[in-house]
Amino acid sequence: MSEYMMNDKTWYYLKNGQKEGPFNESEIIKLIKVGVLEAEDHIWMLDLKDWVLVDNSLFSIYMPVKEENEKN
Amino acid sequence: MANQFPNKLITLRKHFNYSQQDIAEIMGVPVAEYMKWENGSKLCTISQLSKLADTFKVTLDELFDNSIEITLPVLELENSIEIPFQNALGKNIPNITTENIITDDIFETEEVNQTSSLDKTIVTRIITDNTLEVIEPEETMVLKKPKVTIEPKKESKPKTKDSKSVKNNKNLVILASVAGVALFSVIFYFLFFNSGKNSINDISNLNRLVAAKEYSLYLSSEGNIVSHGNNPSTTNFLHTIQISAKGKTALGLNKDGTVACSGTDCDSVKDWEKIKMISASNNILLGLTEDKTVMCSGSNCNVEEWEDVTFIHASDEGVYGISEGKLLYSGTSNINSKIQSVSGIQSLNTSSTYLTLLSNTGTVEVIPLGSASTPITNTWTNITQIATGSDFVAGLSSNGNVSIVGNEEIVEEVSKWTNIKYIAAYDNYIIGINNNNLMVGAGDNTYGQYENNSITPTESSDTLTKLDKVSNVKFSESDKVLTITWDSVANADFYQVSVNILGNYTVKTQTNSLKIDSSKLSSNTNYMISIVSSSNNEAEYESSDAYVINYQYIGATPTPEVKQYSVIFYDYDGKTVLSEQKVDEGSNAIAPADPKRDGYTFMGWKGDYFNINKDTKIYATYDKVQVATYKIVFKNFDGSIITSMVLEQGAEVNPPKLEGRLNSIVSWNPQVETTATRDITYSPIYVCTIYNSDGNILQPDGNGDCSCPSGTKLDGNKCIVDANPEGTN
Repeated sequence: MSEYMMNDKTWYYLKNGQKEGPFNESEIIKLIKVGVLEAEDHIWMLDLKDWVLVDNSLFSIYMPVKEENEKN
Repeated sequence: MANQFPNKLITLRKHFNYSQQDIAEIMGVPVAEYMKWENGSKLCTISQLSKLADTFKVTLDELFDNSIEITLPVLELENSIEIPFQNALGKNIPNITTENIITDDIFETEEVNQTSSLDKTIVTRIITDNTLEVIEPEETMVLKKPKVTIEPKKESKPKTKDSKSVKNNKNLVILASVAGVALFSVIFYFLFFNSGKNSINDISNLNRLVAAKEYSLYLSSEGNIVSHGNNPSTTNFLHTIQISAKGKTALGLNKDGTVACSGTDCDSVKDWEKIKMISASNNILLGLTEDKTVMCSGSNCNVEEWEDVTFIHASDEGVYGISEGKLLYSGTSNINSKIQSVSGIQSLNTSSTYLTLLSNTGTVEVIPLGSASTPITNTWTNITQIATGSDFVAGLSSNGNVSIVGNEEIVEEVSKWTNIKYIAAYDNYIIGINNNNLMVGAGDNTYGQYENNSITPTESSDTLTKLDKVSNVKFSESDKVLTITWDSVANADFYQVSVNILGNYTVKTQTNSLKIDSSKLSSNTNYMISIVSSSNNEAEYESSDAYVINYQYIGATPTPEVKQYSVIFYDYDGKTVLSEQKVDEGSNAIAPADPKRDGYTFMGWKGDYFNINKDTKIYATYDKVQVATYKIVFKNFDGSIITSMVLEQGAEVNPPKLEGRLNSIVSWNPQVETTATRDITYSPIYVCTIYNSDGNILQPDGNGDCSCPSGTKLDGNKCIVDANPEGTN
């Protein structure tokens, strides 16, 4: 495993076919919290084998809670 | 998708037969913190997640991605072997898993493939019978630098080694040897690669020396704690970078930001994390966090709202903090008014008697906590540390000398100290550590709190003559100046005068007098004034003892300014200004001439314009004038009313138009008055314009008409006998 600290910019996201990064852990979490990154987007960091759907990731707990009428 | 991490964590932990405490120790977190990961109330960082994946031999993807189920690693033996290890070498020593243990099966030359952390393949190494390869656990030795690439990195297989067959079955010997080698490797790895990786602090000059009631503690640069006296145990103080104590509880700040504790009330600090500084008194434990807030346990802990704190200190009566050079305080001492104006402070400490402040510029100020007089520290410069006793205050200068004032015996001893790098004090003793890491001490040593390795310097002051103290000090106050005079001292070239004003007013004067600007002083205030006589010839004369006097400055009586106020007189509408004046306080305003208003009578001024003591508005008041009214009636010839009106006195009277009648003229009777002056009724009066044959004017009939009598006819305006009676008038 890589050794890295929380401030290391090792995260990337994939949204609408566009890749952006690098970000550090707190930055990528913030992007999820403010809704920039949504459930159907993907995130990845260098020790992950593959891109992970935001909705499947542990960081999904940071996604904003949707109102009932916004849910599918 | 639901968070699967807690369940995965529990499953893996139990699979490896770890307790929560085991994993918490491996991770270097408090058990309470780890429990939050398992119950889902908190998420660990990715760094910690990565370490968990390493520990449990799963991939980071399996832990991070809720859609991936974990594959439990196959354990080669039923139980993993634990080789006891001394904690002093480090906390993060994992249990030795079956990963590193050679089994009989493997001796049969097979490679056992298991899931790895990278590509789900782990190779268990094989060892020959004659040689013990020094094999390092691969997973733990793989150290990749972070790569900045957009694409997910390709799978890479871990390094593998060729398996070798084993010729004999000395299982137990090889087993133990391999375990030992593996253990060494793991130790090597964690010592080399892991030391300090999770640390947020390093050892500095802060909190290296503790003087408590019955013991002292010294934290060396190597992290060892040297104790004297009746100290609480510090065996659990590992990776310590700061120490603090005053009584039965000692705190140690760990490199990783957690806090070690020995004594009472230690439960309250066990969950503290990301701590940068600690402070302990007899009844308060403090921790300064990375985000500059304060953790507090004990009494007077009203510190929740403190922000941007850069320094903390626990005393027995309260909590002190420094934020942007200013003091914060929560406690029972009545000190808030004394510290409000203090600024530019970098550190502080206290005793039962004093609050000692070290400024950013290396000067020292002392604030008595009770009725004690203030030690004079105005002349101290380049101070880097301070220590406070119940009857002394000390400051360590950057040159390794200690300035000290107070208890004469302690002062005499400490004045000899040189090359000191740390100082600390309790109420009745002071200790220091010199550059040779030897302890020196002065004062009470009842409990063996210190060993004194100080060397008495060669007496060299025999050749110096001490100058006399100044005498006959007199004070004189004038309007703007306080003048101090004293008798000259023989052989003195100048005098240092200090006045204990906040800001440390100190001045040198060559004359035996000094004038102080009164604007620097407050009336009816006590000031501590110190005068020292000194010589430029330091080889022959040493400065005198300080002459110290408590002087009450009275101050000049100020001439009060005469206050003036605005007084405005308004007309009835509240807007029209009739008069505007500036009036001295206590004087009367002058009312303007009575105003006039049509239809109204001025009644007077509303508001008090005598003995003015504030801005005042005055308003004119009026009463409406009462006007008489009259009833005017106009009647018809038959007595019916044509019109009736009520008019104010003097109002114009407009009579209705009268209708004319036959051969008559009409007018009102009486003649209509043009304005109303009384109640009156007007009636029409008709007058014929024709005469009878006698020459007399006719009288109108009831309708006001005038007609010739029967038998006559109108001829002009005269009725004549009608010769032809059928004829008409």
